[in-house]
Amino acid sequence: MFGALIAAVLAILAARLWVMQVAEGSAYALQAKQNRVREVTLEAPRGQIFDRNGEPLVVNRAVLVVMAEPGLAYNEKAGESAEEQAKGQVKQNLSTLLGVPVSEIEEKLASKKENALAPRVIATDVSLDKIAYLAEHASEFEGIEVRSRAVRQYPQGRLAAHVLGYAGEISDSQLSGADYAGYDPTDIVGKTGAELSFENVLHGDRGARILEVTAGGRPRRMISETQPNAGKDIVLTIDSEIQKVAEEALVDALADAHRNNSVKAKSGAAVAVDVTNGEVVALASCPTFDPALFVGGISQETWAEITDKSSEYPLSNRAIAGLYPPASTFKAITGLAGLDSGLTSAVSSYYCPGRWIGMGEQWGKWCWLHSGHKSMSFRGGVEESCDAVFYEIGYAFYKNDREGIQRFAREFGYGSRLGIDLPGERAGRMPDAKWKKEFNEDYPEYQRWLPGDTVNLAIGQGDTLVTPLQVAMSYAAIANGGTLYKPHVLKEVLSSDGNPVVTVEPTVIAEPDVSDEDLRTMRTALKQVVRTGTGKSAFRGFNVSVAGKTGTAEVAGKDDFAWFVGYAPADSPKYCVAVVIEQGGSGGSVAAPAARQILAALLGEKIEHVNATDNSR
Amino acid sequence: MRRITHGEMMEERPLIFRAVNAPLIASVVLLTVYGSVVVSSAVSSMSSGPSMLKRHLFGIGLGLVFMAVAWAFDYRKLEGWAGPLMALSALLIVSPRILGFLKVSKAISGSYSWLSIGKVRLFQPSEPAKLVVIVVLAAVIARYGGKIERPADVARICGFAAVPFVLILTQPDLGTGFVFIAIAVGMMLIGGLQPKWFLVLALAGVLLVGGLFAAESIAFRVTGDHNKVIPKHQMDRLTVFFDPSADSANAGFHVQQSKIAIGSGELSGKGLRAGTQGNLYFLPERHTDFIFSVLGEELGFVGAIVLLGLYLALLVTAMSISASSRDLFGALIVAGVCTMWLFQILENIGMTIGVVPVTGIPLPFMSYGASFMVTNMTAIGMLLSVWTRRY
Repeated sequence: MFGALIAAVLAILAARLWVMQVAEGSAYALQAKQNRVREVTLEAPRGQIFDRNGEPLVVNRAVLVVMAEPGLAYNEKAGESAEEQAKGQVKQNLSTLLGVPVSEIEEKLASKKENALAPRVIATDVSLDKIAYLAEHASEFEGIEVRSRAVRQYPQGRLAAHVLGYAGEISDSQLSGADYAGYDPTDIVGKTGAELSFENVLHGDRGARILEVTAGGRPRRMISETQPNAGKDIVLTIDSEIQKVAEEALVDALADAHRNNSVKAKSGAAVAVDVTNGEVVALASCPTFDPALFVGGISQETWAEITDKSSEYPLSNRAIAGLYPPASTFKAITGLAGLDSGLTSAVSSYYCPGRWIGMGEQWGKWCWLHSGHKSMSFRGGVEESCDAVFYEIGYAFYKNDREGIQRFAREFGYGSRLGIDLPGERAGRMPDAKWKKEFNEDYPEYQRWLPGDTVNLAIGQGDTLVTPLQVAMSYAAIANGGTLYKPHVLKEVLSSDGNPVVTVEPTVIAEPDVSDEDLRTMRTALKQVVRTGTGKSAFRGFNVSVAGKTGTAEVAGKDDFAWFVGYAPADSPKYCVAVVIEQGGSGGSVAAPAARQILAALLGEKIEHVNATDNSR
Repeated sequence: MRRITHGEMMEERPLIFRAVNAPLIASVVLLTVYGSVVVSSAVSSMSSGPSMLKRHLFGIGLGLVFMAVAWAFDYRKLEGWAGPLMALSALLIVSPRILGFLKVSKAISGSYSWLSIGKVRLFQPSEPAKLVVIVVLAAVIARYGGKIERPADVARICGFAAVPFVLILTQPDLGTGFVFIAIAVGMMLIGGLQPKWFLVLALAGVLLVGGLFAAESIAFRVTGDHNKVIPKHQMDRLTVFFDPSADSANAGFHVQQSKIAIGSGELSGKGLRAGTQGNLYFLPERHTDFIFSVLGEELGFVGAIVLLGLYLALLVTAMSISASSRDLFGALIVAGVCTMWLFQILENIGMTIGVVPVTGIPLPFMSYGASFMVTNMTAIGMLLSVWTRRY
């Protein structure tokens, strides 16, 4: 009987061992592996951003980060055990050293964002003396480690903030999106601007170190290592010198506006492009913001401040997302359309009585010069920005080719996104009969496209909305002989040894069907605008011949918006600049001087701020 | 062909072959060698590993001396000394308490189970006490000539068995207490205890354990404090056994890690010294109580079955010695030793694979620990003493 007992006991043990080691062995083997193997992430530095001359715009700065093992978190079940007390002491020491409340440390330890076993960040950018104290008193900080981590730094401060954008911790919605497959919940990603546009280039691939650790979490040996792949550096087409001038010019222009009693002027935008290839050399939006605010996460308070209605929305990139009536800057398009369709010609003559009654006495419309320009040639109409001339041309289109202007304008990029490599570009609006019907769906009496709509469109008023970028690119196309390039800010992507691996080539969006002769006619007229017309005052004494157009937009309920768009040198154009000052008053006196400063910087001329006087539109 | 009688065969063989039980010696040698190999692997990653291995081998050497002495000693001389031996076992068990009372030594982990002077640990007196109790019970039970029927006889035997059990609980060392119960029950069965009495005793045992738990829970409610009747760590181990998720940080964690170690050994193991659970400190007490976890991890199912096979050989051989004994006293001694081993094997391996609650019981011939090794070697000596004197 006793023998049977022995056999039974040993058989039971053997059977149980069979189940554990053979039947379920692989599951236990996996658990043993999970026990001993830890994966340590090796951060991949984010690519840096340089301007076209190699000036650094966004770089990385190493900061020291204090991290804590997740095992330090308070364990309710363990209660008042000695281990729990020791952990409490470590947290207390840490709290005293870093000035972070224990409750906050607990919160961070309990964070679910990190991998369950990964250490949690307790404090970023910790000073060296505190790190030294940590190192000297290591025994009082069991489970605490110091690591180096890279954060964004902006050597030129706020310069080009809208182009660069900012980076921040990946959001939950981004993380679940397909574009961010393989990202970690703690990854830093681009949120706006170039940081967002070129995320896939700037973002590196994290490396990993697989370690074997003891039960206490101490590394015993390295099993394998994957080196991190640093993000690639990029070179922008932006020239930081020009960008700086552009940003200053906007500030100067606002000051001019205030001096001219346009006290509501608070914002504006400027764009400078290379007419020969679509490179954006400067892209400024005012007011601006400091991208450094977003390093390590922006505070709730600051965020509220820069998104408040009274803030004039500094985060908005007005150069590509601001929508404005193009006003008289649009006359070049109307004029070209007229020339192209034969509805006007270089030698056509007009008469401006002040109040134009071409559609009948009851539909009379004023030219901005109420006394009238009297006898006007086509070129004079452009030069003096005479509304009556363009009313005539517009009305001719209404009668003969009802949507000819729109069709032509669309070929020059209006009404749709140009596809600049920055997020947030808007399409604007090129109104037509179909749009008007849909827009006024609930107001049947407003659905019909009227002659006045085309006449208003002809002078860049009415329902037309454009971005400063569209205006700049359309004039660039006029300047370069009829090629609409796709604007871009990325020039090169660099490999780790600094050589370009990608160089962005010019892309042609469209080559509008317009004759060289018509273009020449328009270019001559635009040159005349600056020489003797509405742009004269702002460009007096400027050594390089400039062609351009002023504009003063009427916006319901607001003061006039000031425009200037021009290119230079007028005879062999290289750069085109567009400036808009919201509620800044007259384009010739407020926007044109700003454009002059920017063109001066681009052409190597003396950069000076001139006070201009012009009351045209 | 002439048939050789048993007597004739023995007469024809030299004394040395009649005195030596080859299967027993062989299984013990293999077990201690096997144990030493596994212990050497278990301590290999410890800073004091080499000296610990030496101490283990020293324990085996010392055990051989004790084995020789016990072998040479005629066990029959002990039969008349039940009373004094009883006193000796009691003294052994309470001796750490006495030294503690005299301020010579202190409790270790809240228990007086080590005989120590200052910080120097000598040995665990409950180990030799097991053998003394076996001899005492054998002497007591042998008087009934193989029939334990009357209630008074049962009570008397239980009385003898109860003394060391109660005393060991004062150390306290519940695990060793269970060993005493197992020894007593096993010996009474071999000694002719009627099945009905076995059932009565089993019932009494269940009631006793239930009573202890009831007392603990009442004490907890009255005083709001644990440790009154059942030590807290003991209570935790039992709680964890019945509900492994109750506490994964401490008691349950150990069992969980042990199961992972053994299971991850799979069929053929990770190889000596290549066990990650043991060498990376996931296993507690890996050279003593959890030595089987190291074996299971590093040598796999094959290694575990080899060990169980060796134990089977040892126990079967021991049972055959018991059967060959010339007197009931000798047979009972062997049966007591056998029960002791069987219970310890079941308890130790069982706890490492999570089928019985955790108690601090080592694995015979395998675990590191000199007093335990010496005790088991002495037991082998006693078995040989019975075998040698079988005629």
